[in-house]
This record gives sequence, structure tokens and C-alpha cells, in this order.
Amino acid sequence: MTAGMIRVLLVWGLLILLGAIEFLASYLPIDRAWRPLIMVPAVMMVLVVAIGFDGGPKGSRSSFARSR
Amino acid sequence: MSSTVAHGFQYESASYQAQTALAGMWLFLASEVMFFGPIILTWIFSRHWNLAGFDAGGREADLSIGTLNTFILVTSSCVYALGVQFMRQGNIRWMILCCGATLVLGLIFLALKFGVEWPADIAHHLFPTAANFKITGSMEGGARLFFIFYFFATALHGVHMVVGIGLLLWLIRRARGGDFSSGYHTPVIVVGIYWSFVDVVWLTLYPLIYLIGRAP
Repeated sequence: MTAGMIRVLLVWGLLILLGAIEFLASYLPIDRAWRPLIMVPAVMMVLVVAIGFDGGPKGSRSSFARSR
Repeated sequence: MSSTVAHGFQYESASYQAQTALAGMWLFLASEVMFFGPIILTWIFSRHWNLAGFDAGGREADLSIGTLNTFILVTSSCVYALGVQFMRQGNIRWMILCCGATLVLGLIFLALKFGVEWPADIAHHLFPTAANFKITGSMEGGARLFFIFYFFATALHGVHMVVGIGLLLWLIRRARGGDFSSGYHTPVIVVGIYWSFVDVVWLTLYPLIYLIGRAP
């Protein structure tokens, strides 16, 4: 298993963890007007997906650099 | 490596062609953000003025299917990313297997969403134009608005999923034809970015639909 594969699996674990935090946070007695704060873990998940799986645009560029 | 990779006449090298493809996908996704972004912001704004109705609508959404679908989509992105790693090693067979697994997970997502959840919602009189809408009283207007957003946003997301599944089928066909190698696999990376975007859209929709309105 390569370092890249290990990173992908760690990113998957982090996403599941953030998803679980988000899910459990929805059961907290937060006032209705403030409940959109539950989306904070979702925003973090979006960032993790964007930069985690392929290292983001930088990762993609390095992949192309290898193909030169 | 570029000497062995064919490229269009308008590109100086295969590398430039690859970077152009990548830039094109990011530009396309920027336009998609401008498309989905206003829908999501309008959703949040509308909820602010219809708190009780939106929360009543959110409580009717099927949390178990929504959560399972979130797990499925996150896992599909992970499996695809593993496929990219295999591709970089030149392991075409495992890359095709990962693409196939991603495709199957995408189909399961669509089956749960449009084959199970939507029909159940419609059967429970939750379609926003239903004459005998399930939620009545002072919350009816807000709840109908919630389900307008729900059906519209999930349908749009579903269309993007179908396009992604079509792209996966195209990738598998090309990979089986020997079009990709560890030196050239630009379409694999570009489709991966698209699939991650579809994942990201769902990660934003999931709390809006299923979690925010579920006040204890």
C-alpha cells in the first residue's frame, strides 16, 4: 500500500468522523435560529474532499508534471 | 513521456493539453458553484423567514436514507481516489475495479434517493403541489417551500450523478481499450474532480435537508 493510498483512507476516516460529529450535533438543543451552525462540520468536510483525495489542484498538477 | 502520448494539434505538448483539461474542469465547476450556490443561499434565507415550516418539513425527511446515502457517496469518492492511486502505479485492472465500484455505489445512491425516498415522500403527501399536503396550519406555507427546495435540489443533484455515472462508464470503456497508462491518465483525474464536486454538493445538501430542522 502506497503513501497516497494511506492518505486516501485517512481522509475517508476523517470524513466519516466529521459526518458523525455533524449528525450528533443535530441532536443538541440549539436554538432554531442558530441551527445552521450544524453546517460547520459540513463545510469542513467540503474542504477535506477538495484538498484531501488528490491533494487539490496542486496534486493534480504534480500528476501532470510526472507525465511530461 | 509526452513523446509517446498523442495530443491535439493546438497544444504544444501532452502536458499542456492535460493542464488545459484540468483548467477547463475547474472553470466548469466554478460555474456550477454559481449555479448551486444561490440555491443553497436562498434555502438558508428562506428558512430564516419560515423557521417553523422548514423545521416541520425537515422532520418529515427520511434521516436514515439521507445518512446512508451520505456514507455511500463519501465512500464512493474514497474508492475513486484509490483508483487514481492505482492508475498512477500503472495498475489498470484495479483502477477499472475502483471505477466500477464507484459506479455501483452511485447507482445505489440513486436507487435509494429516487426509487425509495422520493416515492415514499410523494406517498406521504409531501410533494409541494399536493392538494392534501401532509403539513397543515400555520406551518404549511414554509413546509411547502422546504419541499420545493428539497425536490428541486435533489433532482438537480441526481442529474449530476447520472452525468457522473455516464463519465465513469466512458472511463471504464477507454481503460479497457488500453487508452490510459501511468504516464497518461488525464481523463481519470478530471472525472475524479467532477465526482468529488458531486460529493461536495451532497455534503452541503445533507444538513440542510435532514439535520438543521431536526430540533430535539
